[in-house]
Amino acid sequence: MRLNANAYVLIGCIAVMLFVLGWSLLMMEYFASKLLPIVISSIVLGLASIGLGREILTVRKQQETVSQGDREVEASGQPQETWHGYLLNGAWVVGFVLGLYFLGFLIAAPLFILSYMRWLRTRWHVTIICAILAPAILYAVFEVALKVELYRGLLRTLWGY
Amino acid sequence: MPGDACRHGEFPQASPEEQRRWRDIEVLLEGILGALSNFATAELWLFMVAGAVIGLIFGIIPGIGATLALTLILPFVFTMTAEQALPLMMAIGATTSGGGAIAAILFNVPGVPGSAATLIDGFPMTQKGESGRALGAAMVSCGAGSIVSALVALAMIPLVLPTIMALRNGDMVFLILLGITFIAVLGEGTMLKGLISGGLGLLISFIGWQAVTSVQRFTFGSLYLYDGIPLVPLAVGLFAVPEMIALATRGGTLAHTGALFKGVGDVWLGMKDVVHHWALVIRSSVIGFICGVIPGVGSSIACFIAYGQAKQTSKHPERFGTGTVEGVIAPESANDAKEAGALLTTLALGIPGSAVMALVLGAFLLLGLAPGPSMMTKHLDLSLTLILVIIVASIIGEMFIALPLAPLLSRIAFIPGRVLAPLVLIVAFVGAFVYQQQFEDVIVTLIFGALGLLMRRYGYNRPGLFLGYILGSLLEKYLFIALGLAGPLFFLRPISLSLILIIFASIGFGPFKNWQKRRGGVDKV
Repeated sequence: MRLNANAYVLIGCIAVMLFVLGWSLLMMEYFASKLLPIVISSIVLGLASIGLGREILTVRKQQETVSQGDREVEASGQPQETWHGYLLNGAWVVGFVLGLYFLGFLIAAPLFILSYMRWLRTRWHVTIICAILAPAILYAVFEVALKVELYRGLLRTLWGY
Repeated sequence: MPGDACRHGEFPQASPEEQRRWRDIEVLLEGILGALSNFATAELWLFMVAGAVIGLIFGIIPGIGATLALTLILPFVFTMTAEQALPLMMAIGATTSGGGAIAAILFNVPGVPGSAATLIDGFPMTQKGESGRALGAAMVSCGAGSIVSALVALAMIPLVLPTIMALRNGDMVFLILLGITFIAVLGEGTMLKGLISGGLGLLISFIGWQAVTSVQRFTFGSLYLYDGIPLVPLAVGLFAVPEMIALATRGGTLAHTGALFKGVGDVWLGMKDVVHHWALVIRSSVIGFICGVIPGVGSSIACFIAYGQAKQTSKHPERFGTGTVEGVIAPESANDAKEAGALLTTLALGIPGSAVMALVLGAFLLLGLAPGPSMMTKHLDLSLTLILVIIVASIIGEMFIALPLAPLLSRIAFIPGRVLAPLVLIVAFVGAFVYQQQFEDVIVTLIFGALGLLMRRYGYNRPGLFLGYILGSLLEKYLFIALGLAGPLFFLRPISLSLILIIFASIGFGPFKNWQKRRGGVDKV
């Protein structure tokens, strides 16, 4: 039997709740510290189990409804949000965070804008203008006006800049 | 005789009830005077007008709205004082609906969920060449709705005060649970998913140091998690990051149809329409206020209820849907009126009724203010100031800024998502870092961004999770105080038992209706 994505989300939720329940029962010392985590995680576990049971019982009907819904969305002409799209764009965000960690905001931001906007097929002149303006505005607002130091990045910290 | 007492230098003593009534009046008058003196400062006006402009811009861009605007502002709140941050946030919340109305009328796309009812008649009016009239009616209705609901809120404060004073710690436990339940039941997604989201939010709030026992929970030895998951990175990750990833995935411009607004030709006609339909404005505003007071009732529900009653009470109901101005006045009055009602519940009880109010509550916590009874007594001047900000920001933003700037503002909706998404993502992550200047906050933002995307995709209630997170520590505090004072049977009070009944009724109502429907189908067969 093939489960749909909703069911897998609920399975994940059940796994997390079992972990929270187990950790609360075994690792926490005082009754006062474990009372609410146990109660809330038990309730959520129960709700997730009910949800999973429903999903298993109606899995075929769900699949037909989803595929019909997809066809309706496509027919209406609205672009569809697919997991493939989410993962690709999410990967860019993860890459940006990695860039932030190593290079800091003032270097990672323009690099991110240049590469991500071009990947999204933004015109060159718009991309370059945004890539120049964004770090300039960030620097002016945070470092100059608010006197808040933006993260410099691991490499710049190691090199002493 | 009373006169005899005065002649002897003694004055007749008022009864305790009269003394209490005079004290309440004194507190209210002091609050009003305090609010008026707060309004005399240039700083408040500066931040209020800035918030009005920001709110209009975010409201006019479909799919963005007040939640994202407030999420992006939240990291900067801790650098401001309460007199700067709160008017800014309230003005943003008050004027996004006006921006949303512009998008609905001109582009047939609701800028905010509450504008979904406005486009039913708003866009047909544009197609008939009456866009100016529709915009004029919408903006003045927004302002009028704010005024009416603020007056209702002011009138209700003397009723709210005794209600708050009657609440005890045990009652607050069930009130918090009721707020989470309502958001779960009435908010986006199914009830089951809403309750799971709320429970998850509560569990996230338990991470870190517990006040009652001084024990660390779910920190796994990490010093970063000692104070729990920080509010700003969580909010930014949950609301901003998923929306921008979805926007980049969808592609295209946000507005697909419609026309750029060129001038203010028949705007004056629309303004006169609002005056002519004053009774409709008042009715719709009261509907919006009541919907705002109840946690979890979204702005779209308020607007559709207002639209429905406008159609039912109209002399020409057949004109609705073809471009009648009443179809614009009713939902827009309700849309803005909702804010004052939601604010009253948030301030008086500390129970936010929506994601927007949950973010406002988050700002209160960042500024060291505790919503609750003290906001209606000690800080009544601040509460009244915020209600006045909603009125004035709506009037200034929607009548004096939106209308003249509508031709320029309407172009914003044509900014491609591929330009907007990267820029907003950068602002979001900068905001998350700036809050505590720890890189770990950026990681938290990323993690909650992934969780928020998952929740968005599968219809889970993100405001419910955020509400659970905000209220979790309060729930635990009230629970243990109640247990300490009254023991395990602390809930045996009329107010607590009534709240428990309402919680079970609201959870059970949906499944009961489904069961009745199924039974009705079986009986027919």
